[in-house]
Formats: sequence, structure tokens, C-alpha cells
Amino acid sequence: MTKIMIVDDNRDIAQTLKTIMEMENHKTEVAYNGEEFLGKVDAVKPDLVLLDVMMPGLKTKDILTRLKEKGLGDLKIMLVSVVRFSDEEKHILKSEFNIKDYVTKPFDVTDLVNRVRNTLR
Amino acid sequence: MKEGFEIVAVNYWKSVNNEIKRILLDFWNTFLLIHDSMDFADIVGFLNKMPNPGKIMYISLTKSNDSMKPHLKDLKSKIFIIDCVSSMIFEKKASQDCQFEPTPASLNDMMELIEKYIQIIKPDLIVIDSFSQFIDYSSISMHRGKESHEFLEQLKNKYARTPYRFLLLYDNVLSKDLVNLPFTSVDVILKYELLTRRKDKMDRF
Repeated sequence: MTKIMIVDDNRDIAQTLKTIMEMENHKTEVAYNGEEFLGKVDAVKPDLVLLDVMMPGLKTKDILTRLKEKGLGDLKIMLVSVVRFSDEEKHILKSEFNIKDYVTKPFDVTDLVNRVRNTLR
Repeated sequence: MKEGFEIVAVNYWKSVNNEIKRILLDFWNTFLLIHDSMDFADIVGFLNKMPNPGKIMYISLTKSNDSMKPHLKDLKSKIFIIDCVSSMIFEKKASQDCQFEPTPASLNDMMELIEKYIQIIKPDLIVIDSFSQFIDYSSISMHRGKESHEFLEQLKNKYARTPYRFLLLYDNVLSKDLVNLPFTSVDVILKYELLTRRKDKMDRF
């Protein structure tokens, strides 16, 4: 069974993502901020992380940098966020931080599920 | 706007053209614009409809400066962007028309940001994109409701007798039923809705 970590400070959205992923037969673990995520990620060893960009506390950039420092730079990450970035910025995210895909909120559930399936392949 | 869709009409423009002109010309300090598009081009379209918006200070919590840049050429007014999202991931350098700031964590932080940049930029219109990052008017909590009310009251008390005007964007992309709108705390509330249809369906006509 694949393990997916959901990192989002919005508890409603985190719970929604958890339910969707569990309906897809994935095991899930939720963290509500970057610190909590970094504290859990070694033990959980997720196959994929759904990471919100806009959270209080640690900046996304710092979370991704600290993952690299932990030797987890190859971890598959999908950003799930309300923020619209340019295509060039998305390209930088892919090349620098191994971001596999980018889903904008509010998301379409079918689209999200398909993207997760593709990323996990 | 979703891929595969195209704008058929903007309902306020088609049906209440004269009314909207009058509303925008009226004296107001705080304007809550409820819209259903995350596309910056649609926001530019609305700003261009405003009579004499003057210099715009655009505080963005949902779009990076880079993603907005291609549409700025269509904007008729002068704009200064305060990008509160890019610094979460990228190292960016400020320019003459853009400054990068951390995301305000609360409406108190937002008020501090407004006060700081009003002094520097001296704008005529302050746009907050988007107020829905702080509050959900479809299911408001007591705490959030109080925070929102206090913020809007503060705007009113501090800026009512000044030339500054505030346009608060509220995206309601999911078309939720907004049962707790702040009718008494802002001067105008307007719903802006894009009517779209699938391009492939249109091709059949």
C-alpha cells in the first residue's frame, strides 16, 4: 500500500485530501505545518507528499531545502495550493526541488486523483 | 478560467451596464468584489472598467508577480505590486514596481502591511487579492467573523476621510452560498460573474 503525507495548515482541506486518498486505497499521514512534517517524514517514509505552499511558520522553500539536507531530495512532492505561479516558476520548482506536479485549489477531485496516480507511476 | 472554456459574457456588463457605471462612480471607500475567476486577466478587465482608479497598490496573496506580468500591459492604470507569495519559495529581488513580502498570517499583519506601503507608494486604490484567504463568508466562525469585522471597521475609521479607496477581492470559485456577508462594514458589495461555456459545445452551433 502506498503512503501519502498530506501537509496543510487548513484542517478542512487536509481532512478532505486524506479522505480522497484513503478512498484510493492509499495509507495517509497528516501534518499541519512544515515543522511537524519534517519531524514525521523520516518515520513515515512516504511515497508521495501533498504539500501546501502557504502555511504559517516554515517557508516552503525552507521545508524543501531541509528535505534535501536530510537526504530526501528524491521524495516525490506535489504542491497543492491556491497560488498561481508562472510556467517558468513551475519549471524552476520541478528542476530545483523535484516537484512532480502542481495542483491549484480549489481542485477537481477527479483531476487530483489522476495526477496522483500519474505521479506515483 | 478553466481550459476549454471561453467567456460568453460578463453578466454585470451585459445586464446592468448603466447601474455598474453609477456604482463605480459613487463615493465609496471600501468595495467588496465577489468574483468567480482566478484569472488575473479578468481582474485587469474589471480594473479597466473603473473610472479613474489612479495609482493602484495591488497586494497579492494568490498570484506571483511573474504570473501577473504578462497581463499588466493590458492594464490602463499605474500599478505597484506587493507580492506576498513568491518569497515562500523563490529568492526574488524587488523592482521599481514590485516588492516581495512574507504572507501576512492574519488581518492584523495585513493592516500593518497596508500602513507600511501606503506611506511609501501613496496609492489611490488599494487592492487586496484575496480577502477570501482570511475569511470564508459561507461558514464563518465567531473568531474569524470578529477579526474580519474589526479589520473592516479599522479601514473605515482610519481611511474614511482620506483619498485612499480599498477594493477587496473575494474569490468564490466554488459558487458557495455566502450567508454572512459584511453588509454594514463595507460601502459596496458587488458580485462579478463570468458566464462561460465549453468551446467544443459552441463549435456545434
